[in-house]
Amino acid sequence: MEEEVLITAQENKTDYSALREATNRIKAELRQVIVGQESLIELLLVAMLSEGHVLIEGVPGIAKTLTAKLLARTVQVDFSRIQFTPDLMPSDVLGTSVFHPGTASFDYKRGPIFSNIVLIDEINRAPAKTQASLFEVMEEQHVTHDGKVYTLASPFTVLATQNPIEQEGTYRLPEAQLDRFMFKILVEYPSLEEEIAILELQHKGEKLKRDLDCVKPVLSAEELVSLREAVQHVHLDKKLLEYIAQIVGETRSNKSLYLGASPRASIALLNSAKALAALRGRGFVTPEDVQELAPVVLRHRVLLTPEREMEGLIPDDVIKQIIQKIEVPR
Amino acid sequence: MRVSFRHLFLTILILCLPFGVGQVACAQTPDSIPEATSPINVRPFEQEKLKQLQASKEFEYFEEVKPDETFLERLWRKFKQWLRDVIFNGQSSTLWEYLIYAVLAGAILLVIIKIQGIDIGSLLGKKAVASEMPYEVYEENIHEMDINGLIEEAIQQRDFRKAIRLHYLQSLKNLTNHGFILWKPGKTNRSYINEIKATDLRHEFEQLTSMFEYVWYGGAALGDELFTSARAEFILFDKQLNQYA
Repeated sequence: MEEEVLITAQENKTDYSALREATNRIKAELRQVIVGQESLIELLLVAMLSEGHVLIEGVPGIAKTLTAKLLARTVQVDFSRIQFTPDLMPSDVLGTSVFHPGTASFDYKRGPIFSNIVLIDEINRAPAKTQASLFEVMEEQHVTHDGKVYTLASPFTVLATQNPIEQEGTYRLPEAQLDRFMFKILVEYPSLEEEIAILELQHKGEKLKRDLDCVKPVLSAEELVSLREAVQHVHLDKKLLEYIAQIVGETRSNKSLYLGASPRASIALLNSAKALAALRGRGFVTPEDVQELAPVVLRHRVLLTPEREMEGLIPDDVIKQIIQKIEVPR
Repeated sequence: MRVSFRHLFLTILILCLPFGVGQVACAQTPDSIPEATSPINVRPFEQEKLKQLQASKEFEYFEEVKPDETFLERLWRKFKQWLRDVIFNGQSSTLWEYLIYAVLAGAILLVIIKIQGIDIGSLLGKKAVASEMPYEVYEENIHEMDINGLIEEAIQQRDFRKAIRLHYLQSLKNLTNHGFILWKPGKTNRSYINEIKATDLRHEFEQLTSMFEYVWYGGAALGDELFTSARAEFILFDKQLNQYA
């Protein structure tokens, strides 16, 4: 009986089995090298499918950069890596004009940002002027130089990493830039079992496969674009639109928050919830998808009041309270 | 020697005394006040007037000692003094006069606006933005709803999706009543599934949840036949639940 209802529900709807298959292939490739970090991998895939940029935060040595690098490798697209340093200039990221003696003219030499997947390592080590250079490209996917607009090729995703502990030589990211990241993923230490598995690999002399050659591309750029289109067709009921609006709206009136989330956050929550539903083989979004993604979408977009900060609260605590307060639509 | 001189002087004075008294007696003349020709009329105090004067505050000589001012009283007195100075000061009285007129005019205007029901925002050029999507607040309390009545109503209207939703709410209500789950507005269906400890009951409810989610969140259309079989599943689950309880 349930299957019949299921079939009716899925009539004239996009088939998400291809999407699941593709993402499972990516996961299998990553598991050759990465032990654990399932949540990080799933969220990275969700962001990739919903055309979002990701900020990965975690202490050193927990495979942040490695995971991002390997994910980029599983998709057959251009990849570039920029190591952010305190002396990095905007032209080092976006590109610069170089005089061409032959033609006696200036040619625009594109920077490393002109790529499909860009890994920005230690993003908080560059000063505000360099951070500001990313505003236009992250939001509008083009670079304006000398009055000319250079559009970046699709897909375009920025994966950035940062370390929350170090204060020396780091700069807090501007709010405008944080808002351009769809997710802020907090990477935790591996569990005891995962750590034992890492050590066993090392002990057996099979050394961790740091060699990227073992990870093969399993998805083409065209396939990725078509998967993104499929995600757009995921059904989202009006009740859930209201639910998303209520959650994000509550961050603006909550007394524990000094700064609430923007409409960009609502859009990010909507798109990512659709991608998560598709990733799990569903053609529609449920309140669980919204609740699961709300912390990763909102945590970097809200600011706690000084009193709450002094009490030791973190944005995730307030977001959790908001979710518990709002009734799940049924 | 000095003592003897003093005695001598005193003696002389005593001897001279009779001469002095005689002279004084000679200086007195016969009584100068004429004798009264008419009887003396003694005027007594008017008792009424006396009482009136006694009661009068002007003749009250007792001074009442006031207790010391408290801090608030002193503050209030100083404020009143300041207000008096400001209002009745010759230089600023005109300004206050205008201010009072302005406040009065404003109050009259406000009363007119309220009576006429005029939108102040539109008067100032700002147009109130009407929300296209009403901000629906889900405040249904499943424990106060007549779910069975609503199910029948939905079936009559052939709104099968709504009927499935109500059946699901009925199951949640029954699970709460029998203590299998703890109802809270922010909990998701998955949270309720995880709360059910009885394995087969949890499995059954998981299936019903999947069905409800496909229909309600997935926007699936239900025909008569499918609805009848789906409804039978819900009724069976509720019966099972009663057996457990």
